[in-house]
Amino acid sequence: MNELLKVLSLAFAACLALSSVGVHAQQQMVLDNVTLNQFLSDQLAAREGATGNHANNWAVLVSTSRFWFNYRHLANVLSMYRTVKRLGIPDSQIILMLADDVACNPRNAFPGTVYNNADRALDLYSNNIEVDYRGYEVTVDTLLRVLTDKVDPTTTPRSKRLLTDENSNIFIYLTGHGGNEFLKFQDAEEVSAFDLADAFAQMWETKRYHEILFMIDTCQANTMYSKFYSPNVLAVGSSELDESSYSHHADSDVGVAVIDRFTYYNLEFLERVDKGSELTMKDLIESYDPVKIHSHAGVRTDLYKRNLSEVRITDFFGNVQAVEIDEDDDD
Amino acid sequence: MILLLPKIHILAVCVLCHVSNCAAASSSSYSEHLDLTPLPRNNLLASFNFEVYSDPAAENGFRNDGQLFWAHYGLFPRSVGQIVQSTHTHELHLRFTQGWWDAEEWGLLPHNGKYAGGSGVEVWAWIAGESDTQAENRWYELVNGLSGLFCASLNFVDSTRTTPNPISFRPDSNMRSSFLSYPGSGENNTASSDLHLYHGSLPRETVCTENLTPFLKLLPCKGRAGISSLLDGHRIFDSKWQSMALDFVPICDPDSGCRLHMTQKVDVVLDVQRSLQRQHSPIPHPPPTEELQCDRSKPYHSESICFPLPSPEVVDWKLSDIFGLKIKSSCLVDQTCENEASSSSVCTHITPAWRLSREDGTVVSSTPSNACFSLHDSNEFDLFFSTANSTSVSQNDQPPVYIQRSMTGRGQQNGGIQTIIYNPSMTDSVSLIYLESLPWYMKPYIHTMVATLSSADSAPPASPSTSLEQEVIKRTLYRPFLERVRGTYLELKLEVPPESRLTLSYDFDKTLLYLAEYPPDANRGFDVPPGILTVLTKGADGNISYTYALRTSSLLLSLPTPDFSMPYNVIILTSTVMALAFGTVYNILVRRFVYEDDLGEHTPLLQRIKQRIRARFVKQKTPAGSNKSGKVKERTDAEDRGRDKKT
Repeated sequence: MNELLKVLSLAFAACLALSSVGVHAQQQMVLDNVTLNQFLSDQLAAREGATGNHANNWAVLVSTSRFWFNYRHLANVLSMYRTVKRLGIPDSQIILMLADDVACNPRNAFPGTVYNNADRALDLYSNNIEVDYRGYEVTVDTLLRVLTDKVDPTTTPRSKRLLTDENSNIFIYLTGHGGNEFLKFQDAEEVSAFDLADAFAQMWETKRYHEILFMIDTCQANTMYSKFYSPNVLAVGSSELDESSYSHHADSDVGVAVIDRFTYYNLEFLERVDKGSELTMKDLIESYDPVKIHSHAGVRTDLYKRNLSEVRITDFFGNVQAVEIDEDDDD
Repeated sequence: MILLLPKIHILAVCVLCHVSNCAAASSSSYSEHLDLTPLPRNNLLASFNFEVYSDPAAENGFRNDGQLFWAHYGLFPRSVGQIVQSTHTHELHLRFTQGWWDAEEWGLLPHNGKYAGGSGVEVWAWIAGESDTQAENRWYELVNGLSGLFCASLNFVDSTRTTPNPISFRPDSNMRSSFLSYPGSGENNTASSDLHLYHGSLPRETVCTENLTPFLKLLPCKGRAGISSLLDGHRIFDSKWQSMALDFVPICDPDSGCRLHMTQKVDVVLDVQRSLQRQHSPIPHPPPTEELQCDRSKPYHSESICFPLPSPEVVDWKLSDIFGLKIKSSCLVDQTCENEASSSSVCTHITPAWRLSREDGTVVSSTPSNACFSLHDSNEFDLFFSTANSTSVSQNDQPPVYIQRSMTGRGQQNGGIQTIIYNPSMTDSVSLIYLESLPWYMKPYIHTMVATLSSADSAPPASPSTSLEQEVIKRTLYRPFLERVRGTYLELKLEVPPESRLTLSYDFDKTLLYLAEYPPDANRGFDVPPGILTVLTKGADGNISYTYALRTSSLLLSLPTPDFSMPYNVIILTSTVMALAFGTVYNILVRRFVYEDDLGEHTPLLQRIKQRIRARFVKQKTPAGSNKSGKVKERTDAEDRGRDKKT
């Protein structure tokens, strides 16, 4: 009996030892700076022309929250949708994912309308809106499939696919409830920072992007981009680890908060941007004021080789192509 | 390329010929129409109707001999046409409906219920396919394509939400088998390619502006001109009942060949007072005292005491107040001819108590009950309605049958469904087909189905007789469910005598689903699709036609829902128990408790191991001089044995 117990305890100890080795191996996946830089330069060298100009712009805008009290998350995404449309990205190049319907919700005192401000000056749900994924379709599986284009090509319509190529700049905006290295989808499941990092890596391998601007507005948002390891990804988050992101204000007639602070101050900046604007990402990052936002917005630039003062806002938010006019009349 | 150029040139010339030669055109390829009917209690039924025809087969398009090419779309929308063509669909019907039609107040459904669906999204289509499997795969391709086009989650229509071949639907086109073959299908049309009917519904689906946007984009003027410019999501989705319908039907003539006919309809019941109030302020406010209209029939009515009327009787409103916009010009002005009836018109159905006037002040004579206005100039159009008695509305015929369905029972194990069908006619009995598709997790027991007849006023009798069931239920079509594959299909052919109420009821069992099958808001419940009731009429020639269709409301089924935090709880509890168990066992095995007195000199483990190794080596090397170390060893051995005995 004694012998049996001894054998069992030895076996248990052996299992523990093996699993700890496994955990140790996992932690080693997070690359230190030197290895990361080497990896990045190898990748960029392998892809010639990876530092050239982009040719088209896409946007993936996702709101992951369900229920009426998360009105502000849908208002966040719809505000970004309006901004990128205003700056020129067409509906065919925008993937809009709304996890719930608030405009035609029976609780909405203003049917068919979504506001992001208590002054109700701007209706975000105008008569020209295309939602690609809505309601129960917005899941972690769907998001990752859209990003990596692992969809059934015979049944998935083109408007629901992210048909980017190696010259596409993608603006990815996620909002909802999140935490340390996770983002909650519809109160039922989560996507982790590792999953997103791997999805971006797959996108790089399959040449599905030129540059990505990843913006996230959740609690502890900066942890979501801490695990990325693909080149040409510029990430902006709304709050640090152990910090929450807050809503800005509520509308007493709608009954709930209508916009989040980080997105509100982003929009304040973006309202000054039009199609020909020369404002840069550095201006946007510098406009973040922790006193106003009530959290420390972060930016991750080590994967992004261009200088932020040379990157125009319209490189990601708009669809502005560089046009060369041929002055020669003989051709 | 060179050959194509003259073809395009010819086609372009032909198009111009078609447009300019007004007298020769038998029917214009686009027409739009708006019907306005005031309903009781200050409601307004607005029926928008848009029809587009494709070019006839003689020029291009379909041909009767089976060969097909489709080169020129014209006004016909290409996006729908391509989806329909690639999935070999012959007829497509799509419905987006929200709200509840109050049949007792408002009477017959518009267009006899042909263009109204059940709440949510409903789609049915006739698809050509050589086998069931091929047709079903094409059906899934069709609904996926439609989900991308109309921004609705139609991709959720899978085998569990599809009903194949219900008899409640009949095709509108006059061809019963496949007369069309598409390029790439190889062979000519053959009778072997049959038409399969599939019906799918999503009762949980919301209908909002993102469904209206692509609907309007299919129209030639894209909702910017003509009658379609009134369709604004802010008003349409603020209504008591609204239904958007898309129908795609091939029309074949022996002489002119085949053309495709697409019908788009939007039917809305708007609350006039609510819409007028939104013009002033978006937040509901009570009206000021001077604007209150009092109920003079009350005994206490006086100057100072006013009991407000539920809805005012003296009303005065204009069309642009209700919709928030005026009709801007006419769509496709070139297309209409001066001497022909305009293809763009607005008609009203009112009683003499109402007065209509146009924007420029001209009063339209109030005696005709249908006053129509055609829009063929590019001016703005607005219409003023005023009356002193808004309760006077044009009589809508009584519907041939009323239906209501509800859930009975309590608890999370089983329940029941009760459907009450009422025939108000004094003289005629009514023949009906009642279709119910239940989801697979609702498991009905058909042997518990009970049909009881009662006269209109009394309650159903306590004990029904089985012979009555055979009289009332003429035919039963039933296919049981297969778990996780398909739901229950139940279709009943009923005959309800005049002035009587038929109560159908049956029991069902509820299912506990797998964890992953619950939606994120599982505690809300699951939606059961509405039941579809179709009224049959026997014509003079003995042919049966489907004259009226109505649907019940959808039901909310509350299934037993697990506690979703249980996986987490189980993991935490198991890990704690494992840790405690292992820790205890390990301590029992390894830890030794020794009295402090007996401890003496405590040599650490490493030192003891070293001593033993040294002892063995020393013993081997110099056996003579090992006495001292041997003694030490013996002593330690003895001590060890002593210690072992103690434990």
